[in-house]
Amino acid sequence: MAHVVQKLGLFISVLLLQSQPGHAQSDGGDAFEFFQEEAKVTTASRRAQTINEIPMAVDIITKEEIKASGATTLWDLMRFRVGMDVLDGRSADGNRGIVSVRGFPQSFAANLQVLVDGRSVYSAHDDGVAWDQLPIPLQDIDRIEIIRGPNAALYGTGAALGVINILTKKPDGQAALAMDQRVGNRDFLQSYEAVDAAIGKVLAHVSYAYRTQEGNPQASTGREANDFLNKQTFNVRTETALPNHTNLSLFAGGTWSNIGLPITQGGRGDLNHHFEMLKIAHEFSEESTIEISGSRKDDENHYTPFASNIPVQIRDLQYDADILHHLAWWDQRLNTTYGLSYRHVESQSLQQFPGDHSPSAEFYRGYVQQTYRPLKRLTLQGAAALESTTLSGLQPSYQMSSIFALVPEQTLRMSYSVSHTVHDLFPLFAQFPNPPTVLQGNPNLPPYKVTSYEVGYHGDYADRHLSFDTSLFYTQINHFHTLVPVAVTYNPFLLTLQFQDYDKAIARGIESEVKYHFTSARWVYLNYTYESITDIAGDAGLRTQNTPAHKLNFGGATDLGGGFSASTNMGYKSRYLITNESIGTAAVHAYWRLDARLAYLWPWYKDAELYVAGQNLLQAQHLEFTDGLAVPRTYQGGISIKFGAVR
Amino acid sequence: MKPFLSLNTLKFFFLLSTGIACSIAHAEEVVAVLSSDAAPYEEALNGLRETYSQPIVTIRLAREAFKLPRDGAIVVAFGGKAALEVASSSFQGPIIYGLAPGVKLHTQPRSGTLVKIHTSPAIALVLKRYKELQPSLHRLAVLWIGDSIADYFEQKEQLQTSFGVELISVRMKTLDDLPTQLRNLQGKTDAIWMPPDASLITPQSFAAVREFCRAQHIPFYVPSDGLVDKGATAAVYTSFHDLGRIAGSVAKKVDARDVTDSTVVFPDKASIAINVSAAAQSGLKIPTEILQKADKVVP
Repeated sequence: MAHVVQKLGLFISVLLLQSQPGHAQSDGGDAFEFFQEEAKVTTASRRAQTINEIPMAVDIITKEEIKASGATTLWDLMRFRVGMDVLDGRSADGNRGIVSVRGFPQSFAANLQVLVDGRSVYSAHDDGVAWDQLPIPLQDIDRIEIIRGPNAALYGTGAALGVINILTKKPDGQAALAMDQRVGNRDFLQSYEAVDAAIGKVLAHVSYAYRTQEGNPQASTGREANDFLNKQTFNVRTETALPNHTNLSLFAGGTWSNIGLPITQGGRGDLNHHFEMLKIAHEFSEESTIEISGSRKDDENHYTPFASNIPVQIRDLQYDADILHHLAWWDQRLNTTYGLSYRHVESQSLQQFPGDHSPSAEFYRGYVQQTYRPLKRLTLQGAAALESTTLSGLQPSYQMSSIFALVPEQTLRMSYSVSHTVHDLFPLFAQFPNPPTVLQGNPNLPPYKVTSYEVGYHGDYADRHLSFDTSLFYTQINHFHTLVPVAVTYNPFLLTLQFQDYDKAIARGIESEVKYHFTSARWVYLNYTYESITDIAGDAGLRTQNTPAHKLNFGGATDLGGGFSASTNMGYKSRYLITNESIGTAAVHAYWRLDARLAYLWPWYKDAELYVAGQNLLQAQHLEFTDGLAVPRTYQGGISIKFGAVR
Repeated sequence: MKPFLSLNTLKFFFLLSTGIACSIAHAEEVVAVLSSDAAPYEEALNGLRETYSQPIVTIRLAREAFKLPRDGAIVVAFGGKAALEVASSSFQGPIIYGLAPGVKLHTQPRSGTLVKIHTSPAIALVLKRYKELQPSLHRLAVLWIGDSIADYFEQKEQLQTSFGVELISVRMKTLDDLPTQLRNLQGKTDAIWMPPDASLITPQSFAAVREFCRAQHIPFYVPSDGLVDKGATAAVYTSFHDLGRIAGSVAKKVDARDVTDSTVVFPDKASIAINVSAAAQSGLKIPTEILQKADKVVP
């Protein structure tokens, strides 16, 4: 099912017009009709879903936007997007970025599924994603698809608030060498090298990146905090065309980081991550394709969390196997995708799980998605999944949606869904002494249950240069957990805190965005998000008030002539209160943030570019999270050179 | 009383009707199969009717299924779906198909005559017209995806010497490759041509190439006049109506057994559509006599 949305990224270039019979060929409005009609014959299986065909709120970050952003981190790519909550924030256990969709920003945002080339990187240990540990140099990313709204029926546990799908560039077999070197203030140094080649039928892309930077300043003193980063990333992807319309893809990579932990005085962490994935796709016919994949990921972290200075060693293992079949039938009016998936997760830690040391869980899931177009203007979509886990038994997820085309290129969408997310292993099984407290897991925690209603509108105007999208959503999340004191001893003093089912929250809001693309290299955008969150427990900072009510972003990119190009992104967040259970609560004042990039293409060699980029340029520093760190103004200069075919 | 119809009159009508019947019996039945009732296929059908004056049985696949015609019939298919439908049936008689830029039936073994009418005029004719429009044309980048377009470039080497135009073939696997390929073309071509490749021509890809050409100040050539309305510089094309007329002519030849093998027919009529403002933006000065000869001029 993930692949329906994976193909979405093609919408940038594979938008097919609706047929409008009965007009003359020379009518400008019908200029594409004939080619579209004929394209159906030859490209049916590769037909992309357009934004107008997706019953959910979707945002796509293209590689042009990635390059123009000048961002240095994965999370900054999503900072100025509609409906997103992105913070620069350090957790006690080494996470460095906070990304959430439709509210609830936390160090590890539960209920947000993140995929890299279809592979889940959602951590079963931490209920979220360690963003800086993802083994993807930004230069390797082809696009990022952000789907706001529940998708557990399609993606399984962890996708109740949305899905972020990061797709890397596919090797095309043309020999190429690319380099990107960047230096900046705060001892920033980044080096990226990549090679593309074809070895027989195997098309390969291999990249390596190194990054180092000093820590962010302490908010109180302005001095550099213990927040340094040294990181190496290795990434390889190969594509092999086998006989009979079969394709074999291999993905592998890793990240090796040495970081400072600002929450712990003098603390350090060694975070090592690597993964492997094999994917086989076979096309039986233009209407029938099957995809089989298997993957493994291995995270090994050593760090000193909290204030206890007790070194912790954790190893998380995850194995996934997935098979899906996509079938288009009845003259493309019915599209069916169904599949089975299996996941094994295991967390090994002598310190956090002193009992059996390695709690594990198995997930078995079957799912089906059916799209039916009863009328030319109406598409109905239903999805259902049944997931069985060794943690919480059998749980269903389902989703119903419809798309109504008001007129060509303008659609109204409505959806309703119920999703479940199983809690991570730590709150279920932890027995972690962290004097003067002991953190105790609770195997009886019920899964999160997320119920969501959404209506939206998408319209394309002015020959598709202008697009407008708006969504109105209402989401209820049950079974938030929190740490509750259950026992105390006084000699020595030891407070036992247990995770318990605790809270229910409701988020409602509106997201609107307008974009105008003059060309593929020149665009402007404006988006606004309003969110209001209430909860039963009234946990200010943890649930309520931790999401800025108003977020406004605007910006654009343009060619300036003479080889120069420029881009800016400007964002505003109203005040919010944010809590981390391990660190504390901070009140964050409203702030503006400006990121910009200026680039110059060498006139004598078009594949070489000099650039300067800056982040948070309006202020020397500002607070975003409760980690005691300020986000400083940063700027870099760099050079990007490519030899051979440009990817 | 004089009879209402004299004997001689009856004889005359008898002989006349016998003659007509014989002549009808001699002409093969033509069955036109259309992918749908969309305007391009209907226009082609009208062209066919004008040329092939005998009654034509028409099947529109959007409304009814293809039924096997009687033995000896000639089937004319307009549209890729129609062509595939007919070819995949057990019909073994002559098939003439057109308006199917993404379909290539010649690889499928069959015994009957199979004639493809190409959607665009022969490449030599197209290049000749573009060279007339743009005498400075030396390097022409051709964007394409579909296999069927490969046949179109078989005479590429010969054309280079004939017209002094170097064809830069830019084949993409998918439309995802388009931005990269356009970047690679910066400063390396005098114009860009989108041939009639159904896999390639979408509103988005068209807009991307059009904007690229505007930024680079080079002409953008397309395979239909409708796309010239949308801002392309010019098109050398054959109208759907003319494609239908060509199908009718071929049907006559098949009927007369003048065509018995499998073959590809390139239209010999090349209409020209010119967008004057787009031409001006690309720095192209169109001579007045060419504008006067153009079949369509968009201000």
